[in-house]
Amino acid sequence: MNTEQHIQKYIANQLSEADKQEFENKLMSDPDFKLAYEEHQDIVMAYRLFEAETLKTKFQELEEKEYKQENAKFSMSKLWYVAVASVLIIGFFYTTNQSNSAGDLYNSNFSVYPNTYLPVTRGNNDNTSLQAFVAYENKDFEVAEKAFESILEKNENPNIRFYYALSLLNQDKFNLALAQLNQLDVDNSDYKPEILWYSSLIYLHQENVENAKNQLKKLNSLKTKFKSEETKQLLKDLEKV
Amino acid sequence: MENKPSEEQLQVRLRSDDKTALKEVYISYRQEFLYYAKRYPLEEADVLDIYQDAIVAMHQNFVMKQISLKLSSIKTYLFGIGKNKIYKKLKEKNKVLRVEVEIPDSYAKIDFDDSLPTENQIALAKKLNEISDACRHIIKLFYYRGLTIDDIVEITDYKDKNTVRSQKSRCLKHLKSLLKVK
Repeated sequence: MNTEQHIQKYIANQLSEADKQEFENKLMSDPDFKLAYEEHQDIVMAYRLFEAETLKTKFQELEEKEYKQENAKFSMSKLWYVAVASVLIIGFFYTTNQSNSAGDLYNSNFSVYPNTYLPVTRGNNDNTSLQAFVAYENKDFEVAEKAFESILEKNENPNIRFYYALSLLNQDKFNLALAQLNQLDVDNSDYKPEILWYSSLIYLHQENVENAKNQLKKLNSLKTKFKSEETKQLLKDLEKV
Repeated sequence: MENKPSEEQLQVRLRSDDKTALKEVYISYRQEFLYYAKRYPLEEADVLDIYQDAIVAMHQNFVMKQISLKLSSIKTYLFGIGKNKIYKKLKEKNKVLRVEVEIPDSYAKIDFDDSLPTENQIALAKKLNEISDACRHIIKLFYYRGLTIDDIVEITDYKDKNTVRSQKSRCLKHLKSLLKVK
């Protein structure tokens, strides 16, 4: 084995314990060998850094391409919301108590919550849950509703109940969805911010501005990143209503 | 944990620096990792950054150390690396109070002895952008993937060992010469 192969094996952790010890002894006693090792290691590390940066750029591109659509939709809905809100605010100067203002705020703020609970990937072997989440991800909310319902009949699971509620909500079954969200122990839920956000939107849809505001205030006090800008904006606008 | 055949095949592909395999892993566990990290006081942008760093670290260990996971799955390994990076990030942000006691879950933190790169190594990494694709490729095969000259002859179009050796030393010389030019 020549010096370079020896160094390669050491770096790749392919030497036996005894050979590794011998290698390290040689590093201390032979300056030429040490220099050769350091030069080799410099190139290894340099390529490692170069490769890491290349990979990170690729992942960022992947994020832009595959996952930013949700955010793009969100930006659109934000613009739409500003437009709707402006119309509404102007409207208030000219009309008295127009009835659908809060409901419109619901429409402009509502977006489908992604499946963050059970990623639909190979390796998941819980068939019923998987089918439910596949249906949810495919926006087949009627099928998802039934599948989540049958899971809940067998076992109580607050996270599944959250998605059951959202399956109902996505079919505009507002009262049923709210009843499900209200059943959840919000303070101990993994989806606390989400529960507060969606229940506030349902209250908005029901023109129950006070309850909507209460939920939004609680959400705001959590200092979570989830919908934080939207929450602040919505609270601000609801103050004017 | 029992390794399924597809998991073993995936490990083989990761060891051979297969980027499609890496993308598969990235996509498979991305959402689950973002969800997992919700228990820590970190913003999603930070978590995503951590996930990407963990994927890179995992991949580089497959390629450079040719690791073979026998007792854990790729997911457990990846989440272990990610968890360690989460704790490092929390420490950086002085948010250790809430996590002084590690939150128990099924992932053991995996730490690598990541010594910081030297200035010379950083400068060389930048210069790697300035050499030809062919040079970068041979440097990658020999230094980063640790392949022998024989291996390189086998998987490339170089006609023999001597051609590989001389190309490698030419490329290395060129790379080092770039460091002297400001």
